[in-house]
Amino acid sequence: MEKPRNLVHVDFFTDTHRITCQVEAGSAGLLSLLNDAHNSIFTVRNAFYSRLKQPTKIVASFDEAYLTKASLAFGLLTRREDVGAQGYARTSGGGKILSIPVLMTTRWFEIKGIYETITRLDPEAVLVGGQSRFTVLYDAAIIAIEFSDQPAYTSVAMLINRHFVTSLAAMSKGKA
Amino acid sequence: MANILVIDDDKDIGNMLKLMLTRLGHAPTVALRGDEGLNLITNNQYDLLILDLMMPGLDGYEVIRRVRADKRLRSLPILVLTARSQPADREAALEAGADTYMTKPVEPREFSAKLSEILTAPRSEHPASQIPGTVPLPRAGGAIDAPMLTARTAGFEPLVYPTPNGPPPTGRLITVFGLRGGVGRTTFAVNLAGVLARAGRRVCLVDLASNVGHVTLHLRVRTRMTWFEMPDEIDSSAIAQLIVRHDSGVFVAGAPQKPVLVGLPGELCFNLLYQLRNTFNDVIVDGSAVLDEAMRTALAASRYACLVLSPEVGAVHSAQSVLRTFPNLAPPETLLKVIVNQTTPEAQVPAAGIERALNRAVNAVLPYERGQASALAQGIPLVLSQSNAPLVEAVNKFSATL
Repeated sequence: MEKPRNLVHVDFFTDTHRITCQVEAGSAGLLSLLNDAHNSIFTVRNAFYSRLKQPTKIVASFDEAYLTKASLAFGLLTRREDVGAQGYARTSGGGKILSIPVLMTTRWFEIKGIYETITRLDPEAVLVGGQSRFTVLYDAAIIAIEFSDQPAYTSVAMLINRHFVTSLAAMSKGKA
Repeated sequence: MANILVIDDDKDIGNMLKLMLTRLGHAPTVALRGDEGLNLITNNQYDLLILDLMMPGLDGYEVIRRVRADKRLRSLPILVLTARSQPADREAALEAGADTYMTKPVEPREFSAKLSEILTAPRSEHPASQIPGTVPLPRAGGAIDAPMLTARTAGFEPLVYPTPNGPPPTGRLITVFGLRGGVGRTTFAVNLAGVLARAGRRVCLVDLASNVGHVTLHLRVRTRMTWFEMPDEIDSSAIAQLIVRHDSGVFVAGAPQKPVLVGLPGELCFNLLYQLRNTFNDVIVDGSAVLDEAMRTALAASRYACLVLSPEVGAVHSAQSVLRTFPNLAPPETLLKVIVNQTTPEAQVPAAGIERALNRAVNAVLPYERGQASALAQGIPLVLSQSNAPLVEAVNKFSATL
């Protein structure tokens, strides 16, 4: 059997579950796969399910599972390059990348991380501009509000479903 | 040569590990299922178990628990190698009884260093093999056994003291710490203080080292009094005696310039930091390299705890130990930040490797700075002499995230 290409390890979070799995992201990377509007679901391999309340306890595992993009709140990656082309931006030359520490909130989570842009923090572009469902924060940490006593989840690159985001703030303009 | 059992349901990973271990001169055996692995452990002698957590059927956590519950096997070292990279996963595995934790994908050099470390360490019964929540009593007339010692040394709790009446202090307490010397802890603390002062904040830098503080050396300030001579009753006149203003605008509370046998007592430290936080926007503690009472008090009261390490194996190992203990040192509100300071031109361990080893993101990487040696020799920190130096820029960027 031919080996799958670019198998990416991801921790996906829905409002209720953590799904640690592998995704065949292809050469374009995971962000491209998640933002592909032609498919609402995608296949993951070696999926291990935990409930958010007990995120380290594995309650079920499957060789293959199907996730709906609309229900995913985040995807946590262990390598920046797994994002896809955008993950290489720091080394792509050209304009200087601005790294802006931001706080995002969703109904269930608080997220702190670095938003990268070559212009400025444009809230409209970050939250609602374009067709993409997912955006990226780097060096990010999330806390599940209901379980704030648990350690934060951290990731070098976190894919965030913009439809879940309820607020965005630049951390340099206040305290968080 | 060591007999090593690998339990991983991913055949490719199993084969890769087998190849790596064979090249390192060991004798590996690979099992693809938890129950198969347990069977092998029971019927053979192994020096190390390398275990995946996520396996169908019997998962890694359950394998660890069963090994630790077996009297004959409980001293078997267990290295968890998993794709689950969150701090919570690491804590759960260590709590279940694993000895060490690495995340996939693994760097061969890092893996090899970790193996040597485990295989050369003395084997002792794992404390997790005891009934949770119990500590064995010392035998009458006999020596205290190893698990008892482990339980005692691991038994830190955050040191918290009652706060005086009145509104809580508004100043931020930032503790810079690390148990390894020579990683540039003071360099970071001094430049962070300078960057914050330059941004218009009132900053006090407190040197808590009990074995000769270096802050005064970095800043070339002469103190009137150090915390060692400070009276037990801390009032405004004692604070005025203790702190001196540096040209950068940073106020400095110095440490004794010769080693002292006893560090600052916890309660006195708490009161001092409390008073300073009433006066300054930011109080930065340049910590001692030992977890004495003063350090534990500072960490327990801190808003930010900055763990500084250099990119070399010893420092990473030390940082791993600190991270395991950290939940017992500071309350959940204290935000831990990991700072990698490249003290030499070549990094022995890349930042990505450090992140994997520590299972958490590195919050700042300070690049190697050739000018640091002359900054120290002249007593003028880089933040003042070369404000556009990459190291200062990195500190500046980090300070914006606080």
